[in-house]
Amino acid sequence: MTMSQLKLDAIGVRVLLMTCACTLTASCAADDTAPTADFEVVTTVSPSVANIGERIAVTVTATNISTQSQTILTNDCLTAFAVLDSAATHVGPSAEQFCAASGKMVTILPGAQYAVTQEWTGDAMRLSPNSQPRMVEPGSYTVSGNLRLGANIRIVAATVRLIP
Amino acid sequence: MQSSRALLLPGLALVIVACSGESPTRPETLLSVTASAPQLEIAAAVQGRRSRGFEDEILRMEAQVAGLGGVWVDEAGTPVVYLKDLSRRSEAMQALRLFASSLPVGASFRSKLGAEGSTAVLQGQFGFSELVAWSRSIAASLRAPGFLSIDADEAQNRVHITTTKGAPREPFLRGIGALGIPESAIVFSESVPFVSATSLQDRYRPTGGGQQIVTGTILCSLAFNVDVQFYAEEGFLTASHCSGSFSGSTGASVYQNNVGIGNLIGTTSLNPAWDRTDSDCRGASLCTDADAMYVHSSDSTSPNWSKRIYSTSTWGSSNNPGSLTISAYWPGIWVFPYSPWVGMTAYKVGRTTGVTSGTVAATCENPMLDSLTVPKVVLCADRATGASWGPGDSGGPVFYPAAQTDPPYAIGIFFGGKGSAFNGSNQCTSGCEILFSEWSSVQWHLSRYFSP
Repeated sequence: MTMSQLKLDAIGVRVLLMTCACTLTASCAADDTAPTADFEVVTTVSPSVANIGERIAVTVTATNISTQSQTILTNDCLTAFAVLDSAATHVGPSAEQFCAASGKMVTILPGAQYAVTQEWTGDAMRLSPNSQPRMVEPGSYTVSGNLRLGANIRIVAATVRLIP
Repeated sequence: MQSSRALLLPGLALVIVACSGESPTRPETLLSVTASAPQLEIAAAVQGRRSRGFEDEILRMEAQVAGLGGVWVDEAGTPVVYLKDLSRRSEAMQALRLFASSLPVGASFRSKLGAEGSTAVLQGQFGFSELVAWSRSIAASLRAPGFLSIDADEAQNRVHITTTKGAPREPFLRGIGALGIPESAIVFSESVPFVSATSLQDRYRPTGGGQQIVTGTILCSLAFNVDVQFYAEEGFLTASHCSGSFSGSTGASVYQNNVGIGNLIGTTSLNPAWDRTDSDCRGASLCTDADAMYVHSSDSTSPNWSKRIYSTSTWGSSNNPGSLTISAYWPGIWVFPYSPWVGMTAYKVGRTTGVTSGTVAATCENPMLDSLTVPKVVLCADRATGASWGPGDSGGPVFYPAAQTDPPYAIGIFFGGKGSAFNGSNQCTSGCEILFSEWSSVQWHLSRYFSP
């Protein structure tokens, strides 16, 4: 991989994605008690340094690292990643797009991958449904894939630095 | 919920007063059963209708045996028939004997039906076609608390109504009287409320609103089982995009819950192309009046198909998903008599997030779906906020649950949404908004009137 990445344990990532209350630290790097994961979800960003408003390609790749075929429910319209600030608060993307609410079943054989590439321009979540669209502040952010594959996953997140 | 209900009731009363011109009571708005309705049931069966299963066979027999009130097999394996006029017994037996050879039933039944000494004949009071016509009329018109199911009961020669325990009989009897149906034709029984550990994602019969359905690899939810008025057809409604086709093609197989021979529940039948070119389509090549299609049911007999919406053990609101475990169901669904308004509470149920509710935030918008992949516009859709949803909920019913003496109301069909956060179970948990096509748009789009 060509860009900076941050490896998190499964439990740490779950806490990050569900509550966004965890602080990212090096202590999250290993957990021998974690259950065997079904998927490794790797996120890459390009470029890893960008101006706010510039298009950043975010590719999220899920690899079936179990010994069984896994059938997942996908929807390529839904945002496949979350952007977290240095306090691990979920700040983006804005997820303004309406999506058809059907799901597509995809079976992934052991060792096979499912990948989604989407764009992020630095747009932030609205503070409330009726508030104005806004962008995140300049700084470093963690971009973590979220393909909604359940709890039994191992996540490799990416970092991106936004400049004014 | 309370405030919306409070708004609803006065409006409903106004509509009923306007219809009846007198007292605002529902039975007075009912239409009486026409005398020709039983003959129409026989005619439909003779012309090959099979949607009522063996009941259509009985109707075909009644076409040959006037006054036949039912055919069934008792615990000893003896065929039993009801006849209104016992003096025509031998004539009837002869006709049944001829008919038996072509009946799609077991060899033993075929060999005994109509044979002297092998078939019991009982005094009947009503022709079976009368029972079918009356049960259909009651189901279409009568809305009463605790109304669980209705059947033209060939084993009792009566219309059999099942209610919840302790449900008052007066609303039923008033409604039945207003329809001109003799009270002696009705028998009641009571049943405990439906309880099950079954999930909306499991295979379960009879089918109903909110259950998981699949076409190919596309996962969705069933909206409403419906009668197609004036077409003598039964089937169900769901979202059009669940077919995977936007060209108007039909004939796709729909399964509940997963693809499998024993799980086939219907074939897409009405699914107009997404070919609107209105300016509100904003140049999208896929644009439609309503994201809705009608699927013709392959089996609409009562054990497999029922006009009901499934409820789950807990409901979600304020962006929280509900349980997926089926705990009850709502029968006796009415079409919502108004257009939804901003501020009212709307509910939906689907296989991914169960029963959730939100507040209608906008009506008749023209939202663009999947704008970054394959853009498509649904015209004049309504939007509600705060209702959790997830992929696979598409096609689920949007409704207002039964409360006190009010029936459940069918409002529309859920087809899309957005959200700022989803959990690992594909459930929106923050910033959730849902989109739905209203019932009137669905009927307009499909050029049919549906009875849910």
